[in-house]
Amino acid sequence: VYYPAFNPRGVSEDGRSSAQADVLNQCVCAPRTPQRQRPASAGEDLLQRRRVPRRRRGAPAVLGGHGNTALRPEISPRPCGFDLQCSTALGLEVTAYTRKTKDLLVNRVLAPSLGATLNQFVNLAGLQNRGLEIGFNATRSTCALPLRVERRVLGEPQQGVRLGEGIQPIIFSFNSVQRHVAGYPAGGYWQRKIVSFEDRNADGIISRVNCPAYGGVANPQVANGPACEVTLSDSVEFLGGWQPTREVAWTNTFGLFNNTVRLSSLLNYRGGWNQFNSTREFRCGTIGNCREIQDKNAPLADQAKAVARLMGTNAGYIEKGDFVRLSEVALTFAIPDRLVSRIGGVNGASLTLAGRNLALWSDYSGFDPEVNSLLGIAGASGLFGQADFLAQPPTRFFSARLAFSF
Amino acid sequence: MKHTNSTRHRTSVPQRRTPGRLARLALLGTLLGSAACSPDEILDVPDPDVATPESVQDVAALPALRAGAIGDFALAFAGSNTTEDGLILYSGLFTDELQWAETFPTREQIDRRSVEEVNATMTGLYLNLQRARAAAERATDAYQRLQPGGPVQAEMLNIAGFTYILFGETYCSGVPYSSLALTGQATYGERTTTQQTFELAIARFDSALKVLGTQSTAPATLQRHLAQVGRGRALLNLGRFPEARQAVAGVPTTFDYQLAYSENSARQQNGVFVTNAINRRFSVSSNEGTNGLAFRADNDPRVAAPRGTGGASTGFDGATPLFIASKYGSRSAPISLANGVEARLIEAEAQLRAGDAAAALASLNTARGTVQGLTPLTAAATEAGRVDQLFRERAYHLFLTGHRLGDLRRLVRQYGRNAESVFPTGAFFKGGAYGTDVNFPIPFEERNNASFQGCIDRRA
Repeated sequence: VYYPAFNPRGVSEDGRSSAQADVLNQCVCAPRTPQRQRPASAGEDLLQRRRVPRRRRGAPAVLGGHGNTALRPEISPRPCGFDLQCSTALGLEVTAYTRKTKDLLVNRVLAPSLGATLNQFVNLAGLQNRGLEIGFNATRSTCALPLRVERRVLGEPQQGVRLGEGIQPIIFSFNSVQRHVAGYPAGGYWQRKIVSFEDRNADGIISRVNCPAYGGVANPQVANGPACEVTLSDSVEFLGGWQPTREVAWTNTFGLFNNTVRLSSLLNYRGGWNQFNSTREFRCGTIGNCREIQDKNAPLADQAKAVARLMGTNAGYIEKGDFVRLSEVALTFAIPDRLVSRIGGVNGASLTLAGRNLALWSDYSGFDPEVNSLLGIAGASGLFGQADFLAQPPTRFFSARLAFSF
Repeated sequence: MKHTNSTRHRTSVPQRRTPGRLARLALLGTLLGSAACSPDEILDVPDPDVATPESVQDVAALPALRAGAIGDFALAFAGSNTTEDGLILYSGLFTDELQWAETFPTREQIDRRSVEEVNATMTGLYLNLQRARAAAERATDAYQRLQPGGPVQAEMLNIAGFTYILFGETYCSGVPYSSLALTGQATYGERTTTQQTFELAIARFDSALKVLGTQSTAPATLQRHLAQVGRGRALLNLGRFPEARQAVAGVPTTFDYQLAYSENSARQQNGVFVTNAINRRFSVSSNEGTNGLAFRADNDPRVAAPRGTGGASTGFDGATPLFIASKYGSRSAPISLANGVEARLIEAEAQLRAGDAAAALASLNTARGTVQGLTPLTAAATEAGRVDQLFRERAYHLFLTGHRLGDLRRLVRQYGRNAESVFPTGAFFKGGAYGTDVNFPIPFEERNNASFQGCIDRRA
């Protein structure tokens, strides 16, 4: 298999002023970035023996993988954009793209009645990403206070997946909350929505007594009992995607005392995405030890989420994952040359004190929205699974680093 | 001198001559290498653990196909130490045999009789059972082609027949049966009704009996009895009671076809024991949901289930009392797929349906005679009481063997009882209420089969 790539670059220079203007054309004509999947011969791996050498009498032959001779490499073009460096003090980088991935490799679900394996890699029709990436940097240098500011903004991907003919929505992830559905972001969250809730009998408790069954999940029916207090949508609906659609990274660096002391920081923002708070769902819906099912003074909205879970939907635990994080603050001291020179062979030294993951601002009700318990999970979840389930959040830590140059 | 000059020459101007010569040699080597072999072949490493379809097309491969089919069936039937997706476990959980003692919400749905089509847990069981069916059918075809007429071919037909029985007893009406050729060509099946599914089972048992003919070797006799009991069970499900009794005639009460389990690997372990006693996921029930039988309270040796001790006194959830079935005492405990006791129970039911209560009682007592410590039953006073007695005996003799769900469905379908008078019902012990399911839905993944549009009928 050959993967052709063609990557022309054009450079324009303007030497009329001291400011340099480099325009780097990153448009690429039909490049290919395949993710190679080893094609199998027809039915190869169809029968796989386990733990025993071939031909040993009595060793079981059981069905192994299901190959796909027609498998092609996935192809997606690189984005177009440009970098503009107006001067040593000011830079702008813009990348706008509509990327259509062809022959998207997806671990398709097969009808189990084949008696084969449940998944097979196939080339689904495609995936479309649209986005805008803007990078801006500025450096202000004076004798007293050198300053560097860098801001990167990413308007990221509104994905739309197109499934091949005859392929049903692919359902996966914890509690089957994620789906590949034609025309919607790949791996989006789909559940019945909580349409409304109301404490109709004013007892402080949201109840599902006398609610109708949704999707085959029955609710307690009590003759002459209270009216149903939670209404769900009649069918599953798209609740949102799991990939951030907005990202901003802001970096500042200050130089003090003739740049012998440097203070830098990194602030991150990710917005427009959702996280499945499976930990909370598990505590409320399964274990039953969260406040909202034990305390009638708990907010009704929280009670409704837990009750809706018992009614068969995880919608209350698909939460906005937007956050701002102070990712890093570092203070670096340059050790004076007169001290460094006393150490033989050393030209310079510095001491850096840094703290990472210092603050998090988010409405997400779990510990940290930026965790994923489904990373590396095989099967249909593949690269698309996203859930927070009993996962350790990113830790906060501090470090001191002494660096020498020779 | 000439040699020296030559040496000096090469040494003094290496940049001019050597790279060119080396490049030419490298180019020549590359060309020769490319011509001689394919890069893909160079990198293709034979895997001795993988058998291609072509390698299992001869007589020597038949034992491997047989072992694979039996292994797949044993896994689907009882689960293992790697998966709880066993039919005995989930049908027991769905009925009154087992109780949910853990945390997985998808399995809570099973115990609660409220199973969603998208319940991911259910996909594993359905897939495993379909794989077992396909493996048995594949082995049957191979024996027919390469070594027809022996008891092993009959065994494969019998295993296939039992997969259809389990589909018919467990799932809603509408299960499709597809096939995958060794070429990779898929043929998707249409939906079949529950009745059609049992007829497919009978066809497999009929074929097994035909293959065996008049053979009288011990393996052939074993397979004949297995086919007889399987056929009787399928006919019972179809309500053809006289034929069912006729089918099992002559099967000795001592007959027992067991599936072997082993400590050898996690996949080969008895999943019922592991899930109940080791992993503490499900506990033996008693009087579950009002209608459940008093398995624990009755102190009957067939269903003995003392409470676990120490760390095993509660289930995985740390709260539900754990009762461990004595029937399977180890990871390697075998499980009966069919036996002579079941043959007597089939006879008893047919006799009861024919109005011969005395003969039915005698058959039940013959079955009880196989268990030490049981005394003979006395006749129940009413017709309903006799039916209760029969189904209680079936439940106890066939405890945790994948029969109970089929029996509860038959009580609704063939005896006119209300589902809520036979299945667990009312308040669920962990809050909420039992649902109204009387069978399993076919998992959503099956909708990738264009011929399948969901269950035909969810009734019993």
